[in-house]
Amino acid sequence: MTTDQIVLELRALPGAPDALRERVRALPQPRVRREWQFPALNVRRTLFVAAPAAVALALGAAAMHGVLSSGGQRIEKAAAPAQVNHGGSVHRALRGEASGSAATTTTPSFGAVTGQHAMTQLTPLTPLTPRAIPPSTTRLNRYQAWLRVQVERDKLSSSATQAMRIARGYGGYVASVDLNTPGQRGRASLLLRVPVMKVQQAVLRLETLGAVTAQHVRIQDLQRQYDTQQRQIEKLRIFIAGLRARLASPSLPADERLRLQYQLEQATHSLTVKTRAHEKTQREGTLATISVAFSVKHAAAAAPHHRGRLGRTLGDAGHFLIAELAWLLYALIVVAPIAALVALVVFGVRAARRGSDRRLLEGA
Amino acid sequence: MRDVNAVETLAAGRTHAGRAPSFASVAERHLDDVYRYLLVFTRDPALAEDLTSETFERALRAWRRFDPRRASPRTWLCALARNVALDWFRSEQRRQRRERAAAEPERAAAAPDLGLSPELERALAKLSAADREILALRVVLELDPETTARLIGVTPTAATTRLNRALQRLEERMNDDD
Repeated sequence: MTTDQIVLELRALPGAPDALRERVRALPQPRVRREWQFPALNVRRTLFVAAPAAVALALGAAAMHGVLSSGGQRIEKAAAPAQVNHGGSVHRALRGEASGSAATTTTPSFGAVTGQHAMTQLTPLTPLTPRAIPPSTTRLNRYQAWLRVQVERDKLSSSATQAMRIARGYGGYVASVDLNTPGQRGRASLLLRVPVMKVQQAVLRLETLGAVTAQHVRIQDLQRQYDTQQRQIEKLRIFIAGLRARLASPSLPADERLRLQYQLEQATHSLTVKTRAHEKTQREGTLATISVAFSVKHAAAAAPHHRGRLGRTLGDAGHFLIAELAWLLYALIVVAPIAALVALVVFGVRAARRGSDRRLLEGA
Repeated sequence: MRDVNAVETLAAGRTHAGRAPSFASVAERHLDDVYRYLLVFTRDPALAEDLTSETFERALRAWRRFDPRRASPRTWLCALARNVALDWFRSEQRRQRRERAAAEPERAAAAPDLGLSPELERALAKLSAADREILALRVVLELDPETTARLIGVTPTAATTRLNRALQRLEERMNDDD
């Protein structure tokens, strides 16, 4: 039998018997079909329409956000220009005169606040009005001043040299210098000791070397300490004199002499220590300490450009669009692996089912 | 083999009044096709009747979900018939396993009477259900390769290859019989 004959014979198979036909006709009518159904999804057509619609929606939302958020006056903050940090932060404090009262609020970064002190208000890169706090003329003070001065890059070395000359010119000396000029940057740190009666003039002269961006003065009263030490020294001298007078007596018993000699030695030692401390206090009150930090002035920050309404709208819309893209990317990164996994499982199950059916039919 | 599916899809979407076809009309029109398909597939007229009836019962329950834009009624009914037949084959396989496990003798199958010539029936009996299925779909129902491939879950090329092999085996069985 040829293939054509086989085909003809197979196509000539009888149709359903009448009994089956009646059985099928007897099936009840189904409930009324929904005439409206969800439109059949054509992937290509859907993408062709949905993709531009999604892009248009995103752009529209970004534009709306830009329009809504750019409305009204807006005060834009000026960008803070870069600052040079010398290991201490720029600080702000209350303006005040040196007085006998205790100090106030913030702790300056240059040193601990004790006793009297005065601080001046600071603004980064805004030159201060030079104003040196005069020391007391009637009392002994420990006078410490810190200055931060900005100079031109090519004047850094000369400014440091000039500062040293100023200190020496007022009868003081340079305790330490640290000068470093790497590339376009540079800094110099000087520790100057100047007679306290000349410190005001010295500070004023130092402030003229550049733009003062920070200043800190601390004045600590040493008079009380000095007077106390003085009184203690006097007492010790009197005590020592009394001991010597008693030791000069020939009729002093041996044990008493020994005891008095021991006391004399102790008192003499104490006098030596107190005298040294007294001299140190006097020296501290005689010479003021000025720390000067020179830094190189940077290029002036560009004045902030105030954008008009259109510019703000476009800027805000652009930021919103970028945020949308970021979220879309995030969603893709998060959802894509899950979707891929689900698709893999679905296809895997289908493939397994098909393979199982094939094996079933081939074995049947 | 003529391709009737494209014409049917178009016709199925609209009756002469422009509405979707009714279940009764679809059942009446395609009952013979489903029966012949199952007859060749299972080689058992009584079984084919039962499975045909079950196919239309399932079709009745799923009628609300049928979308004539996605497939013709005949293709849809053949897909349902295939699932019904597969369910039967699976249950038959389980039954045979149980019988083998219980060492029960298999029931002797009566020689089917499909209305074909004896040599063709004998040759068909030697083919696997997979071969009979492809013959039923492509030869008896004259479905196009794409629709057939979609029904059995293979590519159109694979469907054509299976048909050629099935016909070749059928010829060989018939020649062996001679």
